[in-house]
Amino acid sequence: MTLPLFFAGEREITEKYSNKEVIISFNKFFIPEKKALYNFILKSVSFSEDSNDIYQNTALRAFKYFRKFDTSKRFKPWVFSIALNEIRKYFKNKIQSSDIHSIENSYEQIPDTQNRELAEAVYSAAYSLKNTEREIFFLFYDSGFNISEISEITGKTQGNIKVILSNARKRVKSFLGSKK
Amino acid sequence: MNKKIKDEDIKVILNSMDFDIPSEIDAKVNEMIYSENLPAGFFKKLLRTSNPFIKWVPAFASILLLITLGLIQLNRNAPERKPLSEIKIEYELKDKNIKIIWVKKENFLLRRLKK
Repeated sequence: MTLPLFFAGEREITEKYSNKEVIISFNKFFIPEKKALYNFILKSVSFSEDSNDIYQNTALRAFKYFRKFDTSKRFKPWVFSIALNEIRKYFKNKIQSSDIHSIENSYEQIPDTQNRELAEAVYSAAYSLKNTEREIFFLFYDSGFNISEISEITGKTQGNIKVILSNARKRVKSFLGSKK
Repeated sequence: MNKKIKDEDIKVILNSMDFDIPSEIDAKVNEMIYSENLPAGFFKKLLRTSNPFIKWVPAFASILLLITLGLIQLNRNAPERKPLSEIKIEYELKDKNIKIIWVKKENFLLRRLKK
C-alpha cells in the first residue's frame, strides 16, 4: 500500500520516484503541449528571438517543479501558468532596462500567405493591448483555453476575465476597423 | 480589411501561424533535462520543500500536547468533600469556670443506644 504523496516522508518520495521516472513522466505530459506552449510564448513576445530563452526557462522550471504537480489536474494550464510568469518577468525586465521598443514589430517570422496582411493587423491590434488583456487574448484566441482554464492560469476570477476579454475584443475590433 | 471581423476569424488567423520549436532549442532543453546539467542540490531542495505537512508537524505536536495537558488538568477529580459528620458548639462561662460542649452527630442516637 502506498501512502498519498501528502503524507509521504522525504525518504518515501525519493524511493518512489527516481530521476529517470520523473523525466519519463514529465515528458509524457510535456511533449504533447510543447508546441502550443512555444507558439504562445512566441506570439506573446511579438515573435522576439527572446522567446527561445523564455521557452527554455519555462520547460526547465516546469521540470523542476514537476514533482509538485498534482497529476489529478490538467497539465496544460499548469505549464502555461509557468510560461505566463516567465513572459511577465521578461516584460518587467524589458521595462526596467527601457528596452521595450526593441520587441515591437518583429513580424518577419509570419509566413507570406494570403492572410499575411490581416494577420499582421491582428497581431498589431493584439500588441496594442495592455499586458493583461494581451495575455488573456492570446490564451483565449490562440491557445484555445476556455474562461475557467484562463482563470486557473492567470489566477483571476472568471468574471474579471470575461470583462478583460470583452474589452480586449472591442479594442482589437476597433483597431482593425480603424485600419480599414 | 473586413471591419466586421468575427471571433472565429481571429482564432483562425492566429492559429494559422503555427511555428515549430527550433530543433536546437528543443535539443538543448532535452539535454538539460536528461543530463545532470541542473543546479547542484536541485532535487534535494525540491524534496525538502515537497511536503508542506512536515514543517508544520512540530507546531501541531506542541499544540496537541498543550490541549491534552489542559484537558487532563480540567478532568482531574477535585478532592471529594467529606459530608459533615458533626457539629460542635462550645459555651464557656468563665466566671463559674464551666465549659459546655455540645456535639451533634448523625449517629448520636445509635451510638447511645449501643452503649
